[in-house]
Amino acid sequence: MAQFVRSLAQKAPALLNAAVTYSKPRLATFWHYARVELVPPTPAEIPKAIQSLKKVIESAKTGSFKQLTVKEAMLNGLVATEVWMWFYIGEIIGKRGIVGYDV
Amino acid sequence: MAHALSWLHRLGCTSGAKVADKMVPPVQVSPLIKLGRYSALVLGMAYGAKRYSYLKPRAEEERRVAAEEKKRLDELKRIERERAEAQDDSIFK
Repeated sequence: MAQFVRSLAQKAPALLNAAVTYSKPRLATFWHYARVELVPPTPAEIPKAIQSLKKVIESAKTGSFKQLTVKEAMLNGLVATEVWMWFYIGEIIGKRGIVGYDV
Repeated sequence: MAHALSWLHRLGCTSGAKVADKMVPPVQVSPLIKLGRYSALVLGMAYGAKRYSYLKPRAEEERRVAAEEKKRLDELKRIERERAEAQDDSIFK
């Protein structure tokens, strides 16, 4: 056990280096996409969002959503599911625990 | 033990080039979806925090009641045990 800890401490800088070299390009890719896709809406975009919401409600009222193809409807369902999952991620952050409430 | 972690040294930047070859341009996400995502996140955080603060005192009360009940039962068991010992006329003590 002591030998393992010692050899680990000796290798630690090399391991850290390897980890950093491995993750740098991947982090760069992630950042490249996240900077466009995962940013919160700017205040200028909120009126546009409300317009889109109005359109969705209109299509529900007039029944024009029935004109969607099945593929489009499925994609919309997937997007809605993803948006709903963010709620659960927020709940995890709020309750400061991954599974269950740690009371 | 010396060679157990040597595979890490071989990683280097080999995958960097592969990743940069076929990068599709990032998708422009609709503002409605962005608004929906982040409002769901904030709502979730608020819900989680609220529910946690609601459940916490209840769990403590539950634990307190359970501890009191356990104490009471332990006391009863102790009395019962001592009574049984007093009546017991075995020589194996």
